[in-house]
Amino acid sequence: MDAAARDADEALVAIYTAHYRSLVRLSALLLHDVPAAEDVVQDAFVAMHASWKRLRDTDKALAYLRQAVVNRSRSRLRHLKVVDRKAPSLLPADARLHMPSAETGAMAAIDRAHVLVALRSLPQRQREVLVLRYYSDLSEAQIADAMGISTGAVKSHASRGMTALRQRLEQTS
Amino acid sequence: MSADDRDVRLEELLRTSLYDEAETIVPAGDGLSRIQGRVTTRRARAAWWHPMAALGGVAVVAVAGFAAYALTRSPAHPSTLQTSNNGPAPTPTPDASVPTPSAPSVVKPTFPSSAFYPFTSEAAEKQWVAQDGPSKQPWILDPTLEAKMFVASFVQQAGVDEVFGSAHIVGRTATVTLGRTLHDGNRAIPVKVTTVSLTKFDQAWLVVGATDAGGQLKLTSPRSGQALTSPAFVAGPGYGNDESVQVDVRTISGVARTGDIQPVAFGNGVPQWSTTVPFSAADPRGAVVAVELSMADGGPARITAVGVKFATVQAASYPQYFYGVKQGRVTKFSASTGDPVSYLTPAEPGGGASDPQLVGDQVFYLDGAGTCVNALRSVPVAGGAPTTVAQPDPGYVISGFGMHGPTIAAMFETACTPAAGQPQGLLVARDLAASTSHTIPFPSFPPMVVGDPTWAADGTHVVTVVRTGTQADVRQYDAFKAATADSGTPACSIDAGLGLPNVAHVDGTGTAWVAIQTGSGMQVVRCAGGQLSPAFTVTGTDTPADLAVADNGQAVLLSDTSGAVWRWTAGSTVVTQVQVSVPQPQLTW
Repeated sequence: MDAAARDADEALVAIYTAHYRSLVRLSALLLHDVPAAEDVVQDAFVAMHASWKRLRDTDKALAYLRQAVVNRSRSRLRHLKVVDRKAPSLLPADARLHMPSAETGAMAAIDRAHVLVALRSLPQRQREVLVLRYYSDLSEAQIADAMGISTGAVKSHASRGMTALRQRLEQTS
Repeated sequence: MSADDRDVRLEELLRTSLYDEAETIVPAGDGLSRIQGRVTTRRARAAWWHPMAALGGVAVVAVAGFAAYALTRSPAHPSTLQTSNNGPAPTPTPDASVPTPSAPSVVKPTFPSSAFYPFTSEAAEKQWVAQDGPSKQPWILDPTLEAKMFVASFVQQAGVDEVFGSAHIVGRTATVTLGRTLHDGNRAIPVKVTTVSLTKFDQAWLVVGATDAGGQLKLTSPRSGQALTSPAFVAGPGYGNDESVQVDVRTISGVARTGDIQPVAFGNGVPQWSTTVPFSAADPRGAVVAVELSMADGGPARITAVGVKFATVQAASYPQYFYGVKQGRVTKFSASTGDPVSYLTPAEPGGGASDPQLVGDQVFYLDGAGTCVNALRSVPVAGGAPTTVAQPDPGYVISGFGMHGPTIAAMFETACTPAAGQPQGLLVARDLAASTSHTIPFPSFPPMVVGDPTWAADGTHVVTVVRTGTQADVRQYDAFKAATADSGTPACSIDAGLGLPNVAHVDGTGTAWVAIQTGSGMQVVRCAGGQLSPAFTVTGTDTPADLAVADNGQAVLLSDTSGAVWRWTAGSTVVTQVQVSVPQPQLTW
């Protein structure tokens, strides 16, 4: 094995150790499907390994991985939607999240489950921006890079997404 | 609430919701091996592809050449082409210079970093399997049964055994939401209490954490898998109104918390709640558990558990010997075995030594020579004749003392038969080198000094435990100026609810150590810079008698009134009982 291959192998392990879990979580938040998220992220890592000669830098590799994860998650969702249309109608997957909680406190009406359900109902781009912003803590420039759009578009999706999220929560509370 | 406030609140809600949801997502442990397997496969294909591509290139060039040749040659020579196409195409063989791809490397699954129940290590799980555990404890093979067992036996909350939906199993991870039926008047309301997260390792399902199913009771500190040192700092966002949570540190061996459990109130607009929980854990892992009880029926309403590791702090060493008393003689003992090593003072029929205290190369002690007659004496550690250091005032006996160096003594003297108008106790400071003395009278008991007085680092203040009826506190007196027993100031603020202070000792670093009798045993705390921090606890019903602290504050001996002795070193989570051959209620390093 040559030095470049060894370098790529070592980078793979290092980046996997540092970022695999958070990338799976990012993908799972977008897909709502953990096994599919693991597939997506593993695909992205294999592609990153193949492109290591070009990347040769952990930061660039991470940006590459994020972009690959967002794109592949989007593709997977598109595929799942096609499958869903052909499948018989099922109860909403989130129905279980609407069970009453133990206490009816001030926040009970707008709890985590409601937020996540409302988030999943947003248009895809808005959802991606909000997840990258509030889970991955990325800047607008990093989000733009990960999604392949302009920072202006990021701002627009973020603003519309938050407005829509608030409206959905107010409707359910 | 302004629009900006609402925005900030929504952002925070979204952020915490995403974080909490993400925390429940635990990828299977074989991700790296699967990626490496695919990389190896791709590399192997590439190794095959390169020689094939080379051969293909040659073939293309050859075909092109032949084509050109055929086009430019006269049809009178077709045989060349026909001959060249005879027979099967040669089968390509891999070039020996191309490395044969190695077999995909398989990364062994690692024990989940935040797993804490029912196993805390790979070895423990393997031992369970080897000992036929799966057939004896089949509940460990089922995430739902495991979750129920976790809440009942680890969290110790009964009745939370109703499963909401079914276990959500994804690969080697699972979540199980458990709850109970809340009875409110005539209504029976099913309520969710906790969602237990599990990961499968080998054959066992392991608990890695639990979250409040309603998302209200959260912990922002500690983080999952964090290495904790005592006391644990536990915090969470202050959602809700008039909420109250009980925080505990637990391990598979039981409760690791060393103090009483203290409810923490939160909500009502206060953005964050926090508390500290002292603990002493013998297990390498455990969990910080927060339980909120229902205001409707007092049962568990929310349960959150975060798996943590207990930081292994290198335990300090302790001195090789301590000094106590055997057969009325100052005696040197082995600190590790408790065995007597040598006598420092001669036998004294009708009297004897008590309360030894090591100062430099001398052991100071009280030497009794009959009823209500004693003196403060010293003897060299290396051996030699004892000398008298100080005598009590006439009509008094020294009941406790402390030295600041070899020449400044603080003594608490008690009247043998108090006469009218005579103080019942005297706190006496003496500079033996300057032959000066100051006395603080204690007219009648209480208040009275209990245990030995001890000198603050400045050499001018004396710290003592003062008993005031059923209460006691730790006070500091200006040793050469204070006029009355009431002129002491609090040296260490110890909440009366914690227990009754019995003994205090200031070490060479200026830290005050206090032994407290609590409802469940004896607790030793440190007091420095106005901050109280727990050191260790001995459970039982014993009363602290003496406290010896090494000058560097790294080793402590605690004795009780029955003469049992415990040894503790800084950084250790273990308190060792020293097997002394004779009871040692009073001792010194």
